[in-house]
Amino acid sequence: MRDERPRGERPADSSAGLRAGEPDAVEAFAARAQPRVVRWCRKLGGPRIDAEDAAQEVMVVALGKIHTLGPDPNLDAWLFAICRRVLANHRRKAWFRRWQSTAVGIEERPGGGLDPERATAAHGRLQLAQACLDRLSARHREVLVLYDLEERSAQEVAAILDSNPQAVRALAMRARKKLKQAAQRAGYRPQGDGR
Amino acid sequence: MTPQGHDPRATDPGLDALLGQLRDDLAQGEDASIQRVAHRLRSPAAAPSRGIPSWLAAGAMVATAALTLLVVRIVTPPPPDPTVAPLPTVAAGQELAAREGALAATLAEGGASVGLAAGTIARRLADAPSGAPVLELDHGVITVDVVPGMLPGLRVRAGQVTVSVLGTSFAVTRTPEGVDVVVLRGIVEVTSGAGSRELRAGESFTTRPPGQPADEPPIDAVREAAVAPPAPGERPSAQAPAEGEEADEPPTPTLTAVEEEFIGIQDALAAGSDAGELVAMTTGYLDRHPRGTFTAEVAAIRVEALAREGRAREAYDAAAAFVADHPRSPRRTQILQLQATVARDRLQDCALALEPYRSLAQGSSPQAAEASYYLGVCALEQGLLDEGVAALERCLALAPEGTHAPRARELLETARP
Repeated sequence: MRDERPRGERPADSSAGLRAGEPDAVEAFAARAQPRVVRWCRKLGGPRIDAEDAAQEVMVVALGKIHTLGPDPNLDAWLFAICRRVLANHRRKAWFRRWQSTAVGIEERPGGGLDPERATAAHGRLQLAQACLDRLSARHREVLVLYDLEERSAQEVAAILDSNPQAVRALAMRARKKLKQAAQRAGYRPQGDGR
Repeated sequence: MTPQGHDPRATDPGLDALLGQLRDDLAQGEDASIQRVAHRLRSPAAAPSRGIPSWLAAGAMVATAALTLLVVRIVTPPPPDPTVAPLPTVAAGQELAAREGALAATLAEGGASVGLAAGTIARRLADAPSGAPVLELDHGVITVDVVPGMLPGLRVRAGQVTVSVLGTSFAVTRTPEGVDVVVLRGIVEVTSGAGSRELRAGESFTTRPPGQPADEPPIDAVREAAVAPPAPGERPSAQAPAEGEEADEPPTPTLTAVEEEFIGIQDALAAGSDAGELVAMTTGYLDRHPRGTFTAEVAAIRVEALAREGRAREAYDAAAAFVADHPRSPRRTQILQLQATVARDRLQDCALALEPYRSLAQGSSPQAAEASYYLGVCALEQGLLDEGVAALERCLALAPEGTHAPRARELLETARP
């Protein structure tokens, strides 16, 4: 059963030290959190935002607000919430920039789809994978990333998303279905699968 | 399989493979990305910017450049007003020399205006092979305001620095100490010996050594000269007036409350202010000054801010009102594009997108082919077969090798009876 797996790298930072701004605690927190934030931004941000810019912003916001943490914080949930807000802003800005700029990155089809050949040529499989995830709703994308790609337990995902494990499992099932459809439409398939 | 704890992947090897591939692809370059972010967080630039002198200097540059832009706009007459002379057009090879006062000129009517602060020397070089204008800044401050979609590829060279335009408004300062670039709106690409990078609204670039503050551009002179619009027939070079012309003494500079308010909006725009704040500022301005020199520009900024804030329906309506109220504005095409994009992408309503695309598809501008394509797509989606086919055919006629041509052909094959 997935829910019996180890809980992974759930941080055990000293929240009192973080709240007090103790350099060692903050540094340890930043070292643990930063790779996680970069991964989230790459997976959740989509192909049109600069994931590194977003990750940097998330970390700056998090470190600036660390003194506001409660006594027993779920740091993953807290970080994820910041990440979600920052990514939403970056997505909005990216949309606006896309409209404002005449430069075209990945060409979009009228139905909102991506031309797989152009995407692959221009940005490689990473961009195509991000574009594939980008076709999912935000909620499905979040569950798929946390539950399936990061292989966290349903309880852990529920705690991060402020939900419950049953809802997470149900959402994960729907998200997988949507992913398969999205992959099909985007022409994204496992390498070596010549279908 | 039920959602109570079983993993449906166990019975779906295809999904397993797909998820595995996703993991692999998303992990590409991940370590390098983590390293780069860690490095950026450790660098001083990642620290909050409050109180850092270089940022104060950059802010001052942005504000100064915004003011320069404003005065250029003051001297830029609206097309319908017959009492104000049009700006002189600078031809390839012509010098732009603001030796005795500020100077405003255009590179192509309705496409791009340039403002030179007093003491600035620049030259329009031969156009690039693509036909894009190229300006060379010898020294001084030059402000360029390009209508998006017009004059693609326009470049400003200042020594080793080249600024390439993507539809924008920006200022370049060149002194013996270095070159500063400040972007007021849109995006530019700056190329220097250190490589290329994109600059967005509110961002700046400098080649000055660290810690050396930017000189304050001679903005007073710009303002002074800019209060008076250019006389009919005035030549771009302030150094060489036409025979028989006498240079008027510039009047004493004064900024009205309306101008001050407009500067505030431009400053907020240049500083990358929150879209909600810009909406509030522009709405207040338009309520107080429904008619005036800057009304069209402020209305356009409001449309963009509404779209940026995610208020799609309001942005659409405001864009429609803008097009109706300011049919001759140089920003009309840009706002029509925004209106159409908001309808299609944000509201996902092709019926609403039809009207702006119909307007954009007229003529033979670079936007017409793309607009014709989307008009065709939207018309077909709405069951307007004849209009859809005609629009797609027009797209192919205007740009047979364009980005949308292959898809337009596909659609035509299926749409034609």
